[in-house]
Amino acid sequence: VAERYPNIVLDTSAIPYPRAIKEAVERIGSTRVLYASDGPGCDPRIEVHKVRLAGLTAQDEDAVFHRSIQAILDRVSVGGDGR
Amino acid sequence: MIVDAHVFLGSCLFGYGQSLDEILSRMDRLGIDKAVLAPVKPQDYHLGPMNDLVAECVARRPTRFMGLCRVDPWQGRAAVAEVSRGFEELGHCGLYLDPWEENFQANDDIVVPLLEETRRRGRPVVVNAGHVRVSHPTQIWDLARRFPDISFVACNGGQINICGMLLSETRRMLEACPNVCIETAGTYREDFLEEIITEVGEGRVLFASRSPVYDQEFEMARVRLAHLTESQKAQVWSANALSVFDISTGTG
Repeated sequence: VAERYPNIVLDTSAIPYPRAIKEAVERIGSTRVLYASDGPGCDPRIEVHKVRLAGLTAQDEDAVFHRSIQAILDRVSVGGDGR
Repeated sequence: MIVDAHVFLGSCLFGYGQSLDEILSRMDRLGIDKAVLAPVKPQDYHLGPMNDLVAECVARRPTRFMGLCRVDPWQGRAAVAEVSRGFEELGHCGLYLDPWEENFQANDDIVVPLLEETRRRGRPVVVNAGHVRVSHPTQIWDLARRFPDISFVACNGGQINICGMLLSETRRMLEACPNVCIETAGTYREDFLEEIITEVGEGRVLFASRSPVYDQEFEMARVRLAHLTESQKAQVWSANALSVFDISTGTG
């Protein structure tokens, strides 16, 4: 579904598969994969560890952890492109 | 000591798998002392040779591995005979039932002869739990109450549905059935594991990765980072598995 529709973004929370994060980045790009913890039920420390185990490049990991969500927030914030 | 209570061996029909060398290499890297091997369902569907393979691997490294006997309940008497062979000839330490991959309901009557044979041998039963229709906690619960003298281990924390609805069902199962434990692998919400350990019992949760279905290194983080005492973690890392599977602590 995410491959077909570019306006769908995935987050990393709760799934128990680090490899699925890597697959998502490879298939739809790191700009559409966001780190999320689903905390407090899922421990954010474990959720961060999961992304680090996914084997992403430094650039993609950076995007997943903050650049991708930052870009979305910039776009929808008051005065941004999404105004 | 760390015991991984559930690791798959072999090449599975459904695309996952790993060799003994791959398992050993990763265990050494991660500091895992022992593992309980379960056969995968192979391409040709024949579980007997997979039970042989597990036994051969255990014989090669008896201080590192124990093995589970896997059967398909739909095979009827042949499955019962295989359970008997697994315990008597192959030295398996428990029975593995996979209602999802073998397509049966965990508490169906076809399972009963297998459990009677397992009970006769005093061995535990590991059940691939949490799958829709076939292995919900209530179905494991039913089984455990009908066989109160068998120790059951429910995989996937008893539930794998991240809607969370089965969390409370699993807890009720554990409270009602003192003969059921759960594995840590794939569990949704680490606070659920902490809740079970602190409120239901420290002896009720076993560290297990179900590797390679789940990532062994990531699954260890659940225990390592859990909000538990060192004593509670020691129970989860090894003591509970050693007790359930009646494993010797010998090394070398």
